[in-house]
Amino acid sequence: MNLFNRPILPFLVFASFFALFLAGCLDAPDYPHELQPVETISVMVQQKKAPYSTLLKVNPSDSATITAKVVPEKAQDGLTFKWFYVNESKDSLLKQDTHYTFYPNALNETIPNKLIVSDKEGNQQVLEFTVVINTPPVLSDSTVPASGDTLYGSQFSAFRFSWSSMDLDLYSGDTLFHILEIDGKQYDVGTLLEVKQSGFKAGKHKFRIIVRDLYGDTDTLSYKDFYVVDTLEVK
Amino acid sequence: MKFARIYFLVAIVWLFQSCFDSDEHIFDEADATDISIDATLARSTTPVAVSVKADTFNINDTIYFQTAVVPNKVIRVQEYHWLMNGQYCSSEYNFKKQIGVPGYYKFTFILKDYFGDMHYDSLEVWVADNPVLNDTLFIPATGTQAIDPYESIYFSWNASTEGIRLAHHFRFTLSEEEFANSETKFKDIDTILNEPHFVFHNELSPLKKYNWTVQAFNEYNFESSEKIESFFFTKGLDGEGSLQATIKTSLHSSIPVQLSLTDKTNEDKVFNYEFSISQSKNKISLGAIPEGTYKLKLSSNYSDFGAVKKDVTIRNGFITTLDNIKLVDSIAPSITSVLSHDTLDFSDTLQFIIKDNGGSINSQNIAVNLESDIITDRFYKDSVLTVILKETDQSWAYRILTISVTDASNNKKTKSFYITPSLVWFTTNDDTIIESDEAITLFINDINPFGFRVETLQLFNITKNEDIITVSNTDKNSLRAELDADLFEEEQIIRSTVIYTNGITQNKYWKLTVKKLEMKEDD
Repeated sequence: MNLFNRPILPFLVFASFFALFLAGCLDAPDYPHELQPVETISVMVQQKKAPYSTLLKVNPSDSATITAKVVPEKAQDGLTFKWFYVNESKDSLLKQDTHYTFYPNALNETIPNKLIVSDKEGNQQVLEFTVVINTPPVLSDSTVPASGDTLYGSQFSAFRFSWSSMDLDLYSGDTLFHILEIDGKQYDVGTLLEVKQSGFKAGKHKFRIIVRDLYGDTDTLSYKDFYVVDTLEVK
Repeated sequence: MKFARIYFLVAIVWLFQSCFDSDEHIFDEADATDISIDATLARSTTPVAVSVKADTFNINDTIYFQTAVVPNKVIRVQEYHWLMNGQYCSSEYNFKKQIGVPGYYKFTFILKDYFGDMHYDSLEVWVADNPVLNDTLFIPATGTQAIDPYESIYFSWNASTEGIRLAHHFRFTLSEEEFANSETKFKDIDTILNEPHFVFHNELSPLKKYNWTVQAFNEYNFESSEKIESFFFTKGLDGEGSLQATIKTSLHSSIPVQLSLTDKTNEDKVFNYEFSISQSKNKISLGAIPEGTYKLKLSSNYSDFGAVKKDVTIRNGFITTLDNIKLVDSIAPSITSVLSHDTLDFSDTLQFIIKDNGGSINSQNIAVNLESDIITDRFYKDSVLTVILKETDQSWAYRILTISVTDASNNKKTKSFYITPSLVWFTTNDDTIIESDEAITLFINDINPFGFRVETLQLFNITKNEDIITVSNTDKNSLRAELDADLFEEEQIIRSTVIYTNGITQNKYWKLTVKKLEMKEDD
């Protein structure tokens, strides 16, 4: 039998291969939904009217609101945010919302430390974080020299400068760093609370103390004047 | 047409059969060549340079990136290039780069081989500048006085590395100033600190000077070019101060010094100190002194150094510092002959007195020259320099003997002496002693070997400054005369002279002593 003598046969062979090709197309998966990829998710916190900050530090004196910022912003629609407090691998769901407001206190159970972001397809991104409850440092107004003090000596006399600062978080690992500013010159004295310095000519001088803790909270004393009387007339 | 159909059928069959011949297309690992890459970095391209995978660099450093490819770099590849923090950086196998911005950098070498396989190797680089130490603003300020030695002392300074947040450590030293007149028991502190401050809790000594230094290093161990080098003073008991002085002296060796402080309001109140100083150990500390105004007098055992007098004020709690006291010997040694003359007769032994009141003179600092010849036969002991002349040093002309002496303070004295001609071409009397009732025969007899003609022969009494005999314009070459002793004094120097027609003059001095008979009887 000579199939090539039948003009319909080539057409049938071609049609069969084409049908087979189309059948392959029928087996292809559905085209995926157009998804907007999430580039980053940042956890931010806000207190009072201060702007949201990624520095997760809150003052215990006021309520705080925590949120997650998604980039790009339009990807945020359709995402679910679940705020958890995790302790010893036990998750406690605090709230399911883009924002969560809490009152910082010693009971950490109300302060989230884990965020699960989910999309409609069930994809998840887990973010673990720590919100630090930080009490700002406070400088005592009592200093040496006190405001208006008169110091007797000379340009080379060692005059004592001392101050004190407090921070409720000192016992939980916080550290205070001080700057002694005398006549506009800043001495980074670190954790020292006392120094002796010379170099003050007779006349009026001013100084102040600036304290900063590990989390950047600061306190600054107002300028205090002191007077140097040169009693030695060292040449 | 039939041929075309057969050709088409054969082509289809050939195409299909190739599918069944797949064994030839299966990858055989044994036939493959492994390709591997190794990227390294180094500080130079010298053979001794160490190649590493990660290192820290200064912003001024040049970093050499190198790549090794196994089996070699001539294999067929599609592409290769370097990325710096994910960005294209270079398309060379090896290249060098200077990174001027501090920070962390990850370099990745990527090679795509002929078969499309990707090969990666990464390097890590940390770049920073040297830290900057503020060497003008620190605590306590330079020269701070009246630090309580029994209280804690606080030191503070500041350093940072620009453009990058790095931890720093500091080398801190603290030492007590050393003085020529006292010994320190303080154990020097030399430590590494992680904070830019230091509290010294131990006691210091009162009324002392303490030196402290700081140098900063960042965590890449780059050191600051700046260095704090400062000092402070401690105070003593209430009502007391002290005096510290640097005495500049010209003496290399040790010099005994006396210092006194006399209270200007009560001259009976005197503090006396004795110590020795030298050029290298010339700082003194006088300990506790009641506050007040004093007259200071500083002198040494050597009179050439003179004395220093100053008014000083001692203040309560303060150390008065004097840095401009100079105890200097600027007086050169003196050189004289034992005969006190600058013109000396030739002798095999000549002696000179060399004196200096600024310390002993080292024999090596004495040089003796007979004109251009160095005389090594000389001895110096107890201020007397003995110079030995050889017979060959004699001359018919004057010779110049030069003596140079340098004292312990480098003051130099050079003095020249004339040595009279010691070779004369005539014979004459030598030193002679006659009785007062005798006569003496004076004579000059020329024997010059050169055939010079004599013009004048003379005998001259130097002591009486009068001519004894002079024969001029003579064709004789000798002179002889007998004279009674009573024509002469008890002692006189007589000069015998021959003057030749060519102008050369030769002299000889000799001594004539006339002994009186009465003296002989007395004896």
